[in-house]
Amino acid sequence: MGRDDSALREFIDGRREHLFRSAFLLCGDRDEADDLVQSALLNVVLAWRRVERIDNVDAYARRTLVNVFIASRRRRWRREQPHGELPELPAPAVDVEAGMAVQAALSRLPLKQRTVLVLRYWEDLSVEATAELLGMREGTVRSHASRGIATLRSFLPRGISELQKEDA
Amino acid sequence: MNDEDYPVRELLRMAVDDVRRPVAVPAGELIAKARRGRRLRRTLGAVTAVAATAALVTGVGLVHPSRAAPVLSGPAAGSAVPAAGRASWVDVPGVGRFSLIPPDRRQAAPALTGRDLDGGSVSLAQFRGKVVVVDFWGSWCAPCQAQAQGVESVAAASAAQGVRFLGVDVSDPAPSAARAYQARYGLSYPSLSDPDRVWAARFPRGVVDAQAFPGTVILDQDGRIAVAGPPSGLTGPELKAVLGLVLGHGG
Repeated sequence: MGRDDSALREFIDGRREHLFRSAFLLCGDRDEADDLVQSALLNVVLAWRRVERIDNVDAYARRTLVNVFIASRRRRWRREQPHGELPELPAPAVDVEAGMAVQAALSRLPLKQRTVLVLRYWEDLSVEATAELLGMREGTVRSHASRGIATLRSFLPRGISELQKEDA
Repeated sequence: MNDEDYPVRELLRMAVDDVRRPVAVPAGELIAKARRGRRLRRTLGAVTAVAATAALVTGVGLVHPSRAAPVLSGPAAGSAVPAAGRASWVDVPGVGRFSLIPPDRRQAAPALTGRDLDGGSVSLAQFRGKVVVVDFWGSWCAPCQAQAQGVESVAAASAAQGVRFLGVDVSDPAPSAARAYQARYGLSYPSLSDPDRVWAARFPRGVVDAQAFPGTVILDQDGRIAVAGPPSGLTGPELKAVLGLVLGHGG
């Protein structure tokens, strides 16, 4: 109703898709991702006048999204050990559709490994920024990242990652 | 193969490439929802006894008996400290939501004073002893326009009961636009000119949104805030019903 909502609307419309994808990678569920994004955006709206001045709305929105996600899994997040055992599950068959296979593998990753991978490799945050956002030491972030990659690799059919590697 | 070689970025992209986002709530609605939530958190306090409010509502002539049973809504989850004095949200079926603040928890309204749109002086003090409806509007504000006629008809009808209206014309670019608005809707009440949007923010937190208009605040005979309307203000029929509650309450 106020007159200066256009920038806010523009931000919401422009960034929602990206936020949704980040949320989906974190939680692995379309509807839940949508809820997470909505919660994050509600916070952005309320903080808008403040964050607009801070001039890094994107970072604020990302931080809020991650916080909302972690809050939704608070108990598991706290309990999770930094070096969890790899579950001994067979890798899925090679003929599973590639995107689905990666989704499935991601969703089986321990929470912190998954979150670190999403922030480091999807949001392209530095180790320092990831550590700051998650309130972890940089060494812990590195360890989660490297464990996460190893776990992901073990969950994925060999064909997928090798094929991707050749493309990349 | 070391970590650096593993194509994590590409894999993550693959995982989301084909995922379709559910149809999302439009940005405008999301913004409105966030602000409604803020209002709720700010003004919502302990819910007063249903019986007390029921007695209060039935004691009033303006609310039709069929809709006279108010539904008190529970506090929002984890509601914050109600800085605006503890209010209860009253949901009168067919009327809508507003917060009616119990007499012992009412805070004084700021001493609105200044120039009206014709350059004369106007102040809240001149209405001492009356129930006053403070109506925030702007000629640029479409929802205000939609509600103006209804609000004016209540102003005209309630004058005999000792109710006075004071407009606050917010952020109007030119006095002429505001005067044209007054003329178009036949507003009978004076409006304080507030080009710099200062007055809404001087009310206690949560009483009136200083960013979104219209807004409605009702003051009791002692000049204390009795009703904080919903963020979108009160329409004519809502205002009529809510005024009834305040008058029935003995101010």
